[in-house]
Amino acid sequence: MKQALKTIGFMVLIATVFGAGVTGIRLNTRAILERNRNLAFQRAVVNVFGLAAGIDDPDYAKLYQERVTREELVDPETQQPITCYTAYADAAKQQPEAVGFEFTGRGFWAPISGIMALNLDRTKTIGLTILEQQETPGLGGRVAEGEFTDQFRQGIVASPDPKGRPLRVSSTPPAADSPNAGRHVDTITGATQTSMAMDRMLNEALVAYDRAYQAAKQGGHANELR
Amino acid sequence: MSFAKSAGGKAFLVNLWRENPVFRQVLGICSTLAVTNLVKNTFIMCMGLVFATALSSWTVSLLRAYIPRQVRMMVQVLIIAAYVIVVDTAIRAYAPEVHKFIGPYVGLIITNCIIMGRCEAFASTNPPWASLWDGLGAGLGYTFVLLSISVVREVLGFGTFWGYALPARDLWFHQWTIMVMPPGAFFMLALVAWFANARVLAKQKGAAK
Repeated sequence: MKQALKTIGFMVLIATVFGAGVTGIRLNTRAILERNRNLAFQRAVVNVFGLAAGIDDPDYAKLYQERVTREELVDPETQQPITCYTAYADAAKQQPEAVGFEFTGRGFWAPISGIMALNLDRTKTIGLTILEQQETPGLGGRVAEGEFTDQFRQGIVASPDPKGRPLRVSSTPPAADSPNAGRHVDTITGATQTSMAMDRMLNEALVAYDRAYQAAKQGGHANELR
Repeated sequence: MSFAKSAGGKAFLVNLWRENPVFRQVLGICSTLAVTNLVKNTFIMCMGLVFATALSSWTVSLLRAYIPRQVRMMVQVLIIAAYVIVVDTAIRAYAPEVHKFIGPYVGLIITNCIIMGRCEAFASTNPPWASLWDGLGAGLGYTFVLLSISVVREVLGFGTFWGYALPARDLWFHQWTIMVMPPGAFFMLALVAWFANARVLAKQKGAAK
């Protein structure tokens, strides 16, 4: 009995000491972690709209504050809120130049979330950024790298086709004269499941965003949404 | 007494090559297969493991006289987890870009058999400084093998080194997709183990004669 109490006492003591140490370190770095998180988010938004292009050493926080607005739309079919963004060419926020929305979906291992940017008439993509993913490093993890995301800067057709599916993420590009030629996105080599997940989630997100935008427009919020 | 002849020095050096944790003790194989397709990711995770192994061994050794035998493994896991959380927090705070890519694997350092193996096999019966050197040696021996594998995999799989494209990559590079995927790690690990064991065994036979 005495031995058992001694053992329990030792476990409590050591768990307290190490727990306190780890908690102390987390508290001490909390401000840095919070700043990193905000900066990473603002940089992602600014970059997906290309607002820092041509600027040496850009101040992402300032660019985000001055040239981006954020609003919530609701998908009328699922009643899910969609966080949307409008990017402006000027700091007075008078000349909108692009729109975007956040998306999230199930990846191969864990949820993937990001922001897709579209031109002002919502017909073509102008950028894609991944905010969070936990895919296999070097394989599906490359979904967040330029090799995959830069494709969306090339103006991929984002309006739904007759079957209601805007994009085609596939390893085989369609023929140049195919009606789907402008909708093609290259898969990530060696990450078939992640590529399929991206195809599914981006198409669902684009369709949901379109529904939410149309609903807001009919509801008379078109000006707010530009 | 020279470093090589001290208890810590011997433990350090033997782990680097002759009793390398990966190809001699067959420890840490999961992460060897999982993270070795990019040199940068491999290097950063290995540095985390070196830190966690060395300090966990040192701490376990410091407390070895007080840890009740029946709960020693629970205590070791708790100590290892604390150091790994420190590594995770440091990378998250000071290298957030890197954390984005290897974050899931940093947490898995806790379950790396090398750390537990060295705590149990060496640190629980040896003095603190020798245990620290033993942990450092095991971590660096692991790092050496993983970096060797990752260099080949990244060059053949991506045509890059540390993320930078190799000279005239577009002219000569043809991707070996298998090198990027887990089977590539199996092949490379087998080749490294074959080569290293052949060398070690040849040396041991030579010494016996």
